[in-house]
Amino acid sequence: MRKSAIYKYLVFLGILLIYPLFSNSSWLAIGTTFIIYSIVALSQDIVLGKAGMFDMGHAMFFGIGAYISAIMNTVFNIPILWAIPVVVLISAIISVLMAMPTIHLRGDYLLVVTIGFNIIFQQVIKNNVFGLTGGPNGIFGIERPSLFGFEFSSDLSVYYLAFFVLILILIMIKNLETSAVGRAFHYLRLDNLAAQCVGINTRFYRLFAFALGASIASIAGVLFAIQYTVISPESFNLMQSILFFTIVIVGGMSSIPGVLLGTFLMFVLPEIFRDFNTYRYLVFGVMMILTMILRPRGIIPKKFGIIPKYLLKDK
Amino acid sequence: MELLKIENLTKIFGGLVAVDHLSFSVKKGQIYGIIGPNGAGKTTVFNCLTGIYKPEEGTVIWKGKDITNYPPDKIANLGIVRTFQTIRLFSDMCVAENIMSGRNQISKQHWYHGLIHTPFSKRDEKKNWLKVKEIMELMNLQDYATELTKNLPYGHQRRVEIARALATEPELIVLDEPAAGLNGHETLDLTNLIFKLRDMGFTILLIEHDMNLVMNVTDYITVVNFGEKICEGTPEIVQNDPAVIEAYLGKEDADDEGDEDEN
Repeated sequence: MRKSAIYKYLVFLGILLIYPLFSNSSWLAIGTTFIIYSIVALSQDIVLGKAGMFDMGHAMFFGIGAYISAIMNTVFNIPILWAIPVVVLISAIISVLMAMPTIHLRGDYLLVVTIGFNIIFQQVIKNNVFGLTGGPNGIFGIERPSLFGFEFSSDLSVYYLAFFVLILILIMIKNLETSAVGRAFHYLRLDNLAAQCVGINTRFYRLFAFALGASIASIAGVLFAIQYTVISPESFNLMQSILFFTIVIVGGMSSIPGVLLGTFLMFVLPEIFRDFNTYRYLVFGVMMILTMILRPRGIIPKKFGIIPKYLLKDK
Repeated sequence: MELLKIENLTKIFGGLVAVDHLSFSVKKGQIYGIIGPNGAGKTTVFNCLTGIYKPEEGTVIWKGKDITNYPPDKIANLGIVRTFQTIRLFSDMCVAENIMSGRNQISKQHWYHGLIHTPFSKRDEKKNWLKVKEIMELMNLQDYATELTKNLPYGHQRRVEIARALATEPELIVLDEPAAGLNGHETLDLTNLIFKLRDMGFTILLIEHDMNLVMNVTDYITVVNFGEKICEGTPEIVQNDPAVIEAYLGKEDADDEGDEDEN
């Protein structure tokens, strides 16, 4: 990674680190949710931005994470952090099963299929399946976790827990970018046939992108359940999926700074302008339209052509 | 030794028989040409061979093994790699990244190395990038390493596509009209490159419209018309075959004669 890029990330993480010092409780909650939404948006970006699959149902995996961990915690009294491996596994399996028959579909068809899954998921949790999902009211009374004797009972500690997870996810995505797997995602997005003809098993990598995106989103779902201790179906409906989808498109596909900025613009900015009431969504809509006209590849587009130094010709 | 053997290959689109019981075989170290008029079914043969189309009938045998109906990626991993008539590069990516795509399946990295790098995956990564550097030097592309391929002139893009194919360490390189869209100078470079590749031990199968190039470089030619083989042999035999002259070369000759008569 270039030095200037490292500084930018350090500045960004530095701001997040000291942010709680300057915020009251409601802004701290917005900060925490911003971090959680950033994680979901980054996972959406793996599927949509990197592997180029139009997944418009990503809030479903976010919801699966939240609901499974909440049910495990409230019904079976399992500490919520223990739910993470279970949640990752289940959402990876569900995403692969869901994607297997549909993955070969062209972008727009896949989009409709994923919307369908999201709506089914909504109906399932709203109808209180097996008496576990709590119906339209959702699940409440989720316990805050504790780790090595430390209780994450305060909102501040939950903020830093989410912050820590974000750092892990960012490191992981950076690793992805410099690995054969990550490059395979780009190859199959840019030209699926050409990628196949140099021996890349594009089907495998598509499924892997889906599973990876779903797993990370479900981890964010667990954090969401921890933050609010109450979850309800509206947090994971189609509108949320559209939000995550738009964040990636507006911010810049497969660009980490783009996705983070997108999350800020699409989630935090409307909160800042809450005083303007309904007008804020007018501004919001106009902004989205202008971005697509002026910068169709996103506000901060992905830059290619960054290769190891030892490859450059000596001058 | 027969590397590739195609037997009775037939591909039908609706009512159109694009390839009709075509058979030929390519020996190791050969530069094998397939020629024929436009729409004769040449590219269809390549598409069947590389797994993009499923043939209705016939078999593709690679080193004694039946690989008919294998998917494209599996065929590429067996050592058959192709280029496209209309260049298909990852146009938003730079030259080095494009060539690196050929190393993707050779790389020993597992899926979890996409999440966590280990000393092994870092070594593997470096090894493959160095191989890319080597190929760029071979193909005279090192000056353009970080250039996005969509910004390169056509001739260079061809070279990148061939470089990408080489990166997969193939045995058979299938070139679909490599000279299409190239100027005279670039075509000459291409001719030299094809000879160089042959000398490096690659076997080459090519479709070409540029008759000069085909007659210069190939060892053996199959002529296809309306999906059927009408002739095969060395360039000398093919050039003098009456059926070929009629189907293909003949048209030009007739025009030339006509011109002379008028004069």
